[in-house]
Amino acid sequence: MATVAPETTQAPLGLAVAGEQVTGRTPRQLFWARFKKDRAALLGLALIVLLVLLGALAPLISKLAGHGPNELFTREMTDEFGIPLGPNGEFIFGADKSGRDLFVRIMYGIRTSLIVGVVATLFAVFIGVVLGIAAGYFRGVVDTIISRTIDVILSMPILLFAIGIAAACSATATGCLNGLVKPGLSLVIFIIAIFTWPYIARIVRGSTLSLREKEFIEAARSVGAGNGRIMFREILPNLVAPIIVYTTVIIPNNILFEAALSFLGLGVPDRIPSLGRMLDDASAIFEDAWWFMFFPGLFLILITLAFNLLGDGLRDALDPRSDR
Amino acid sequence: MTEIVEPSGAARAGRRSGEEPLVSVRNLTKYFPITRGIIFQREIGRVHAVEDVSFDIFRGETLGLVGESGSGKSTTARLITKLIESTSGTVSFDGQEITKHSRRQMRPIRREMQMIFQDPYSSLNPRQTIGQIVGAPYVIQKTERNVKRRVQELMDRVGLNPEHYNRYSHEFSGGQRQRIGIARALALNPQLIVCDEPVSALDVSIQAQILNLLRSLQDDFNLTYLFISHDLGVVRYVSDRIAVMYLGRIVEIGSASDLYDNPRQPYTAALLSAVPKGYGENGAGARERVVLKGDVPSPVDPPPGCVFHPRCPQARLVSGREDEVPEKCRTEMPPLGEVDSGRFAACWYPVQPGQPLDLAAKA
Repeated sequence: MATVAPETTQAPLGLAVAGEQVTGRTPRQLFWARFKKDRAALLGLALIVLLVLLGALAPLISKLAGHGPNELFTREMTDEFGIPLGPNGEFIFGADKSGRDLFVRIMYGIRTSLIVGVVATLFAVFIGVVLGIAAGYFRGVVDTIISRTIDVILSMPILLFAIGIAAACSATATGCLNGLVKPGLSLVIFIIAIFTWPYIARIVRGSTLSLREKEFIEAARSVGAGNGRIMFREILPNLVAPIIVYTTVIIPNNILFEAALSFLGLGVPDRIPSLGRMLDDASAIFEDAWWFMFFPGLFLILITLAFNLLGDGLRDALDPRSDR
Repeated sequence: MTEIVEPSGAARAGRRSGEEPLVSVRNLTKYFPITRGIIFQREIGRVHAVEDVSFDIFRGETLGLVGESGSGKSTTARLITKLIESTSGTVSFDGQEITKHSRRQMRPIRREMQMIFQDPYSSLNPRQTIGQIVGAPYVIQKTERNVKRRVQELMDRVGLNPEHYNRYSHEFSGGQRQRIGIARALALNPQLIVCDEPVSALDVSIQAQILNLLRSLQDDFNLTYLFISHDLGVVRYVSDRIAVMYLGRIVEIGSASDLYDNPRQPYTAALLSAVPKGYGENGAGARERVVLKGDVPSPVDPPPGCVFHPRCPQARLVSGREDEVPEKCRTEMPPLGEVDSGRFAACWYPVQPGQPLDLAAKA
């Protein structure tokens, strides 16, 4: 048997108190220890939890308020000139120009924003991660095709193309791509995903390029691991931190993207409340109905701010070496 | 290229005839293309990383491979384990030629040959626990049911605490990390382990521990090692036979003690003379230092004739002039020829035992 004495175990980053048993901390524990100290990030997380609750409980809130999101209160809540009335005891955020309860509609609007923002981002991340790893891992022709596609998409005037696609796909009820993309929520998600995956793919590709040269990849190959295993078991876990960080940064952008499309009248249909569309509607009567613009705008800012705070905090906690 | 010399004599150097080698390398060559252009790539040159290398590795022995950085040692290791594809030449493992094997055909053979890597930091995936790292060979090759128990046995055998099964690699020191790499290489119970500079990233005090561990494992598991290093002391300590590489070629091969005591190729002589001597070693037989002039030529454009001739002190001794080398050295690469029984050196004018290598000293 070997006569070599085992070396003493070192503590990684923790402060070892003399005589005390030193237990190693997993990367997850280290992440938590750092994240817990970041007040801004915790605030962001708390805001997100609150907003998600509001969005998820929108039907309940609507029931409690006694007003449906599309219920018209034209007689109660608009004056003789058709201008909506402001906040009062029953309609705490006032009404929109059709006399609908703005509070209830904003709760549903949060729901729309979150669904579109999160779902579109998840699609974008999925496409971006798969293509980014493939491009970085295989290099050569695969990389050339994927990278040039990324360049092409990123060089497009995104809003212009988005408007074009939205208009084209909304023309008929069957939508486009053989009915795969129907007008409405799924169309907005589709457009946003198509234009945001390249950002993820680029980052993933770059990291993959450097990771594939590490010796642990060779080690995996020398025990007979295939490409799939190397890409998704060896490389992908090392990309989790940048992917999580970038995802939380992209979500607010995509929420604003949806708001912009809706603002331009190309987002979700009118029966689905959207914060962007409310801002559009409000812009015409802003001078007479400040609340109509103030409350949707406030919540849009809150959502975006919350995700950005969380994203910054995650980046600091997951990758302490990165510069801001 | 020079004419193909039947290399089996040189490959066996220092071994009895009739013995079947575990690994047989013949005329192995690897060029890396240098390309320019983004979409339409064209080759503007090639790096001659490994050129016409032949050697055998016998069961149970340790073959040391020495040479300076860029001499093609690591490339040779990766060609043997098929981590990169060769340009030409063949590698046979256990009598089976594997040069043309597909990834799938290689899979069962990979159980038989494993690798220990140089960098104990980048060779362990930072997102995996020790259990996952050492257990991966079993999962991939599907050879073991009770992975955890096997892994813990291995950890114990290489001097790690089996209780650290669920720890991540960043919680270990360099020496312990290298032990993890060794446990991973041992997992499938291979016949051959290619050690690519396994101790060069470690502290000197830890180096000895790891070398002793490798030795005791060799005895226990009847392992065959290809041991690559640029540390001549380390190589001598572990090797039965040694091959010296210079600019992608093997310039001398022979049994370890022979080669160290009595280098016959001028490059080997110069290389060995650079080894610092320990206290009390400067007595009889101490070599004088041979200082080579100039730098190693670029492997993109290796010199014609003998690759060593632009820097060779022996060639200058033979011609008797500082600025002249014999015609043969300039035009023809010498084959690995038998200079002594069991000793092969690629040189037209092998160094004689005890002969000085300094032109000035001779004059």
